[in-house]
Amino acid sequence: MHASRRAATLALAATAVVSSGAIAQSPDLGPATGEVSVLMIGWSDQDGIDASTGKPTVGIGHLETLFEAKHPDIDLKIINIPWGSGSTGYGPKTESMVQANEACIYDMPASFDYAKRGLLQDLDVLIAQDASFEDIWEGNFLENSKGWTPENANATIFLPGYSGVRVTHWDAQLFEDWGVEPLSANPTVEEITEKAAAMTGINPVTGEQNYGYWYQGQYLSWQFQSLAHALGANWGTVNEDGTWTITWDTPEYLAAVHKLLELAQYAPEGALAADAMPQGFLTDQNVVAIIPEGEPGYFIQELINGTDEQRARFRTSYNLRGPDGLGGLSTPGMYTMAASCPNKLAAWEVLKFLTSDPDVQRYYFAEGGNLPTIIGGAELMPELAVLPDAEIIATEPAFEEPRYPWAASTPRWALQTALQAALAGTMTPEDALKQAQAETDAWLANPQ
Amino acid sequence: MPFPPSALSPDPMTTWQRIRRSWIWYALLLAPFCLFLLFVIWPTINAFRLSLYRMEGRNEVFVGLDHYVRLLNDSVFIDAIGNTVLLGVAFLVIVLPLSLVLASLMNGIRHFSTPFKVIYFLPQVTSAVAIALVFNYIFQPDWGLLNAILRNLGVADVPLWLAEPRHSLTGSRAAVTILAVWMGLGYFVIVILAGLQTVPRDLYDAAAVDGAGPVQSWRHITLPGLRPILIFLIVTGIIDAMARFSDLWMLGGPGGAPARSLQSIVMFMYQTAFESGNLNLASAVAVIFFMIVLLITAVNYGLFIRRETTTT
Repeated sequence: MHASRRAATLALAATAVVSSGAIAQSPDLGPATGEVSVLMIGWSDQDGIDASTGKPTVGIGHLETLFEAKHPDIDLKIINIPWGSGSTGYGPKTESMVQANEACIYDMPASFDYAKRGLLQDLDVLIAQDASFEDIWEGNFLENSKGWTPENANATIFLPGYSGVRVTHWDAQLFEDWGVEPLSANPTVEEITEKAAAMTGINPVTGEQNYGYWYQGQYLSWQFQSLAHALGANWGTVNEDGTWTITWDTPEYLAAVHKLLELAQYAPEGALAADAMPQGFLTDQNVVAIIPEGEPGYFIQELINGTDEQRARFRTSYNLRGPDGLGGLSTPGMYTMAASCPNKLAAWEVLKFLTSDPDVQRYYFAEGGNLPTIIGGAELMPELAVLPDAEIIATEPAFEEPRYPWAASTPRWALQTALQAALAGTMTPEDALKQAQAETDAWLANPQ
Repeated sequence: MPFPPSALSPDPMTTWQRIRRSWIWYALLLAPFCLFLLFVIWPTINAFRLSLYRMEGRNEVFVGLDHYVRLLNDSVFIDAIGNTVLLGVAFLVIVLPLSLVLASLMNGIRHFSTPFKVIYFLPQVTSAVAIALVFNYIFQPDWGLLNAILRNLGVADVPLWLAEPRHSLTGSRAAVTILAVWMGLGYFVIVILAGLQTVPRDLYDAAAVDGAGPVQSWRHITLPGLRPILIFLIVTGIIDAMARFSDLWMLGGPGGAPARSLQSIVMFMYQTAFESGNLNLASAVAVIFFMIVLLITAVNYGLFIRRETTTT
């Protein structure tokens, strides 16, 4: 471990002790033994066979076996639910379990909201009492795990178990057909605009209609944030008192909406109704050349298990980046601890295991295509080397913006709806941003 | 002949004796009644209570009617109500006449009517989510089945369906109305068909003797005979339309995309509770929704049901 990292960890722990008053109050963290329940999302319940690759898959129970071999005094119970949708989605299930104190550890995409509600444990308290704790996560993962709780404005609220990865996809075959230079590893907005325009029309080789650009109309926020940040926009800040200041109605965001409208001309007309990657993506049927900020992760296992031709055709570049060198949605698996957990010391061991054990990180990659978050994680996914852009995929998370705390709140929907209206032509870009700002301000004034 | 005195006198058994005699029926009712209390009555009462509070951390703070005031000044919520009503009216205006015509036609079939009934009813016993997924493929503007057919028929400017938020006959609202009609038609047809078969044949025979044609018989015998059935379908259809959620969610995503054109009251309630983490405000939405349905039912009762029950 580097000296600077160790010093940073000590400083973090010291800050945690001071800010949380852990020593003075000697919080009761409960026993370091007993049963610890964990809510995990989207894994296989049982060992089986992957329907698309035919390869064996390993059920989530594997992690229980691994953990209990190392910690025989703690009984790990994993409750695995699907991501689901609507009334059967993970959101209502998570809420129900939190309300009923059904688990100690949660894989919790909306962790910032739960932290604001005072339902999560400030992990700095546990870090402070754990002499063996080290920051072993890559880049700013741990620093970006901070959020606001009623007791601590800068609390560590989760540990990053794995990282999703959103990158810019491009189809090398279409670039070749059109005689366009391949997309650079770090594309700019101008490069994407120019090349998307050049590849929209009837393909000179296949005679099919091609499109230079793609956006997911139903989930537009993340791609737009990436684009806007590249044009100098910033969403706002988290204030000392835990409130947020969010600024959609700015010249930078307005320029980004205009740019989005320009780029949308090079996308299929129906992209506004899209909730996924374009039809035919990763197959010979693909007709879209550039897909910025694509769906997280799933393409990795598809390409690793695919053919050489497939890997040579579907290439990857970094996401757009802003003036600060960062860009794109951070999508870590956020493992949190419930404030109501009766045996926090035991849960702390589970939490560390699920977020830093190399075997677990390997499991996340092999079974879900999620990237490791710990330093040296690249060694845990040797299969990635078969992809021509393996390094870009492995290092993209280090360049992502800190997680947007409003990612699972009203401001996201306010902005997204306004963008859809602008794309559909039912609102001007100016009015769309004003509407998003007004809705967001109304919510910020009274979020609960 | 006068009745003997014993026949006119009140039942000599006391209430308690009557209960003891039929205790088994009360015992059988007890278990479902407890479940009803636990899963319907208690959550309903709790929703009313929650709507009067807001959370500060884990603590509840009484805020009275603040959530209601906020909702009634929230244009997104008001739009969601308007959208729900619009989609519900569009559904009923299409499905009722259509099912009436189809049921009347099927009622005239002497042989092999059962396969038609099964086919029309199948969507009713299929998962709404599965149907929505299929319709998502049908209505995709670029590669969907419907537009592919239109292109093959030579239509150059195909509709945008799910990508069109404007009020239009080929927009997202039209697409989900077609879906709802397809899904609900079988139920309406079967119920109306059952009603048609209760209309006495003698009336038609008498009308024929009097020289009435098929249209006159339908107008003056069939429709009045179906009145209770139609009222039942209108009342339950309105309530179902107000509670619409699964298919809209599947096609429009959490935000009722595009541009909230597919957002209903229940979707707004869900989004408030589980996408924005505000269970108290969502409870206020639920209470308002409850009141709206109660009001509609009361109006229906006053206009139709009371008249039916007092005339029969």
